[in-house]
Amino acid sequence: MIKHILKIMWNQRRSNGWIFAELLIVAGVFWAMTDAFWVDNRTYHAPLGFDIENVWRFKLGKLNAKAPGYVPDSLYHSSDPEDLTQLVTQIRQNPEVEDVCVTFYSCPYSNGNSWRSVKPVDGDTVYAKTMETFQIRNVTPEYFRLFRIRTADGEPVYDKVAGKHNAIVITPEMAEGFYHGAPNVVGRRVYHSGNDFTSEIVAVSASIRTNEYLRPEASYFQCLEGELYNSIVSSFGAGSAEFCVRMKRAYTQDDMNRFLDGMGERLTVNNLYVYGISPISSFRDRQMSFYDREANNKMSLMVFMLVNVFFGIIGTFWLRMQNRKGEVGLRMALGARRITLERYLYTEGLCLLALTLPFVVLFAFNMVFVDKLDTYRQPLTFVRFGVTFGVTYLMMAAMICIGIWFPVRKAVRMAPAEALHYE
Amino acid sequence: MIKQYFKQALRLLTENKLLSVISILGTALAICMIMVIVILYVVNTAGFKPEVNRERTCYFTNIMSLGKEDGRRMSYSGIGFPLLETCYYPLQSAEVVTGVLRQRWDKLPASTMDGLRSYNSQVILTDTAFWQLFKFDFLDGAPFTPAAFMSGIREAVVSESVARTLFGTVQVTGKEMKLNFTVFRICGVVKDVSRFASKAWADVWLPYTTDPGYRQGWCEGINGNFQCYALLKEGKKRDDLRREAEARLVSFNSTLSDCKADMLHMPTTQVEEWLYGGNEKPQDVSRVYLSYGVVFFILLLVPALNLSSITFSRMRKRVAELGVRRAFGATKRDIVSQVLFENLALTLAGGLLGLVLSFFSLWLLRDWLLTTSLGEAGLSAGMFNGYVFLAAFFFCLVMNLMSAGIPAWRVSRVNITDSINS
Repeated sequence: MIKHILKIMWNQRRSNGWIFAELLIVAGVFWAMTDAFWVDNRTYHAPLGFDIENVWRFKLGKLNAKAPGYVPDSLYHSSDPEDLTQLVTQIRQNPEVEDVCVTFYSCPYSNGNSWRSVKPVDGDTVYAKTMETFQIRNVTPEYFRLFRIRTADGEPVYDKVAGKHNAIVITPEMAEGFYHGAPNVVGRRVYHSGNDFTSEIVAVSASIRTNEYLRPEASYFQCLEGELYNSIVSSFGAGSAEFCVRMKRAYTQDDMNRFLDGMGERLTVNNLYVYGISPISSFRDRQMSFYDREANNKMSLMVFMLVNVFFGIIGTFWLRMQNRKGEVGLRMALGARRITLERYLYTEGLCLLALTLPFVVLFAFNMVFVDKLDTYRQPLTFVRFGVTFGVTYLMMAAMICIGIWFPVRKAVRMAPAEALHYE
Repeated sequence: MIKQYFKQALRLLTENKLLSVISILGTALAICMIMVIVILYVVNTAGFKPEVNRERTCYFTNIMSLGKEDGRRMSYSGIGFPLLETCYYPLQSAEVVTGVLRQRWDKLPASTMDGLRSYNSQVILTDTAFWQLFKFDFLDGAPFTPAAFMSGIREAVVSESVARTLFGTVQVTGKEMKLNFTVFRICGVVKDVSRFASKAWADVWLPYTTDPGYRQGWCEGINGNFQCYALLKEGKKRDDLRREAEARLVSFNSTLSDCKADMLHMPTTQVEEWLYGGNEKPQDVSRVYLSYGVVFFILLLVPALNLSSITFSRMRKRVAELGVRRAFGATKRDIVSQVLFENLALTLAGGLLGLVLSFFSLWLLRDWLLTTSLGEAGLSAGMFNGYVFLAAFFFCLVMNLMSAGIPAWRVSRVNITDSINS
């Protein structure tokens, strides 16, 4: 039957040519987009390394000199770090609050992006020159408890950090890039620019990603405590601290506003005050909106192409049915059953689609060859090709079947005598 | 003649309804998607109120500080006031230069004096030149005066929404409000601004002299939080402005001890600002246009293949008719133009439907399509300008040529005797 169909298709190459060209283009573009979706989707659902549920960010401000309640210099006997610590203590005392931490340009979804060069203290380590700068996150030790950050073995990082002095925590990517997989990374010491002391690597955390659409990059955390805390808070200013609070249960924005109202005086320490609050998830939404829009754009182009395949198939097969009423009639008169006839037409449409496959595979290999596929976030695997090709051809096959169903239903309902009339 | 073609086309439309519907919907869908892209491009790059001077405006948004000796990277951020004052304000190639401070991510609560009603406002701190560069529609009052600006008097221009939320009316000049606990006197009310006007949009505009910390910066005054927008003088090019700014930077750098400023690829044009504003590395604008071209091509090609197939089979049925026309002296060109004009009737119908659909989908999908870096914007009159209709017509013509070109050419070449015989 297939051979027979192929012969007929060849004889009708004039009208089949257009629809074949269309199927070819759509299959190619559709596959490329499915592949992009595969990468996005797989990356999106990989573990993030942190947990932001019920975490809120308090916005801090400094009272203006003209504002009521301003503490003038003459009466001010404190410092920025002291004020910030005092604020942390006051908020942590509330029974609704589970944990509080302070970060500088390092909180999840904050768009913070500071980099430092790192040098190993022990001279025996071979480190690559190109990997010497890493992203740094300045965080207080509670950060690890608040955002539920764990080591690769699943132990809480906080336990390793607590009580340590000048500690840093590195991600496995940094351990790999910096120490090339050497064992016993924990306990080694490094210099990093801007500090005149060495820091000890106290833990290797699980991979941390900046957001759902990115792959984990090499980075490290510097734990702020003692002198380091004081100097960092003083240089950045307490007002620019990212003040993260994890609540014991889920709150709405209104609940939180009421919570703030209830806190009253405890939200102010000298000139430092809390003026607003938003969930970390709102920062997440803002950061992700770009990616979401891109995904929507791709999706709409895909839908557009599918609809066009539908239109094209309907048009082509409708015309063909009109022109071939005689042939159909003849087949029916010679005893072809309706179901055979339908199957014959569907096979013809699907054959047309199947013929595009070798070309699209060729196109895919070409894309791999010129490195146009995203291999940075997700590796090229057979599963990836299998799934993306499968989805592409299933969707298109479904569209073709719907497209054929419409004209076919009309054609096969004809009485054989009427159909023969056209012969 | 053309009228005749259109008449014929209309008759043909009703002859095979299914095929006509498919052709029109296919065209409409393609034109709709293209027009959404075009409209978004136009509102992001073409001038409209208050950003009426977009074509002539250049943007200095960021500056890089490097170590004077070793060229090590120190900071990449907004512009510091000392640099703004010495290098950018005196630029001769520019008609107007304005400095703007904006807390992009943080809104401040503007409230009535009793604190009962408040509006979470985006605030811009700026100078008096701002009101010359951007043409706002004032509903009441006027911008803050140079005198008020110089002496740092706390005056504020607010948007219609702020005025209505706080006071229930726009006649609020002279009234007082609190912004982040500080009292400001309202000096003017402007019509709400579309968020597509990414440089001018805010809810409250203040003189930056009211912020006690506006002179603060780092890296010896190179870096700070200012952005600077310059309106080019007639006849001046962006490169003139850049050369002048660079010369001034050199002399500014000579006064510094540890740092030097590098403005990288600044100033940027409106299109660049929209594509990669604030990025350290400039993107190749032509590459972006190329990717637009590829998307448009696919959007046009896929439905054009459908339409070609339909047009072709329709024409084959009429070969005899066309043969008769040829026999009576019609040239090949006449035949080609007849096919093209008939098809144009279809395409235009589809195009018009597509344009309507595009406005409808902009409205329906506004959460996604009309979201700017500043938040959601609404449909506005700026989206219905002449460019948009011109572009729609242009793409219809392209579509028509792509979908009917080959069929028209093929039927025009059929031998006269053959066609009459068929």
